[in-house]
Amino acid sequence: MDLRITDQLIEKIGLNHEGAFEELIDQTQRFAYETAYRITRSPEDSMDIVQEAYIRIWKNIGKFDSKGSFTYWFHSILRNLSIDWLRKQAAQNGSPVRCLEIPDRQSDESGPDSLFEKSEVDGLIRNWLPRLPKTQQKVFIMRDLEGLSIKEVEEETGLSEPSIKTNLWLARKKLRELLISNGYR
Amino acid sequence: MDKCQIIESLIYLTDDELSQSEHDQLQEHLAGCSPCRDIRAQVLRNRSLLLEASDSSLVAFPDFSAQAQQLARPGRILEHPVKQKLFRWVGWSSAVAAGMLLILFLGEQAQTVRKIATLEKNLAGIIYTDAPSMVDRWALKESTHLLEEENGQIRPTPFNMARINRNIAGKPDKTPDLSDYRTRMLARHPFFYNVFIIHSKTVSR
Repeated sequence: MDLRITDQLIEKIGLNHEGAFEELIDQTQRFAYETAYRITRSPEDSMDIVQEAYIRIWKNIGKFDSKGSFTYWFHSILRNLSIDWLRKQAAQNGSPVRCLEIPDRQSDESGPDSLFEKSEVDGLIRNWLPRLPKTQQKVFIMRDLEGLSIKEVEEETGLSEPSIKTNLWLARKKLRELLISNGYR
Repeated sequence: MDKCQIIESLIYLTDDELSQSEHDQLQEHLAGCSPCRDIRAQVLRNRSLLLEASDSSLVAFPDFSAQAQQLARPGRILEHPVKQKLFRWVGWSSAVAAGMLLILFLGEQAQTVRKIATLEKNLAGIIYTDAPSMVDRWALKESTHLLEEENGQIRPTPFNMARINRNIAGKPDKTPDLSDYRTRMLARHPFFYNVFIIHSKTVSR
């Protein structure tokens, strides 16, 4: 995962060169939208999140350390905004599972493959995500929602491989417990 | 501690997350433990379904070009609905607050202008009707700051009367008295001070 944004482009944006920011949006919008969508699963809200992320980039480009990776910086802005959105949704919906219908898996005629296509489960997981500890949340999203490799997670988060693995198994264990407690086997 | 607990952390990891030795250790345990096999199957299925469901290619990619132009334009108005609402709200409330403050300020200034103008007018009356000579007129004019308004009447306070008399007697007392009306007004309205000076000069001509 590398957006290949050059230092020159970042510098041009910082100097307010005409067309520079448009070029950045052209190059990154798909990545931005997909990152937000994988977490929120809402096309409209993903668009809002992407816009907000670009506004943050615009405002803070001067603070960006050119030695760091723009991709990681942008990715973390998008992920944080998406998690904030999930948190707000969970707060609006009250307790995490209150508004969700808990289906009886035995009487469910659809196959197991449709499990995560169900809005109930989607809502369940997206209410649960913001409640995870920050590191577990980050690692889980990168591995199980975005499908990044362990090496990519390691590079972006700066965590060691054993630490990534520990956070992953704790998050996955909690997810399994959540699904079981809500009637999914 | 039983074997399942020791192996638990490995059950939740995918094959590519395990080292060769961890993989071997896990496979050896799974071969003889049906509950752990079920858990692992469930974990792996959950993960692949999650990844599948998060596949954004299933959703049409929206066109951001309009927003891109908005964002890339300096001094842009943000398209974000929440920001737009906030911007409008802040804009309107600031304008209303600023307007109210301006009305209050101008009202108070106008009141001060009126009061001082009345003082000047009445003072002129005192100077040209009551003062017997040019010297006295000058003395009274110099005593302006010693006069005050009470019940619509311009008159010196008993304490300041002595100072006015000293002025009339040719011993001018120019010490500002902060308790007098005009000085207080001017102290409260430094912005107005310059206007007042111009006004005073015009009147004195």
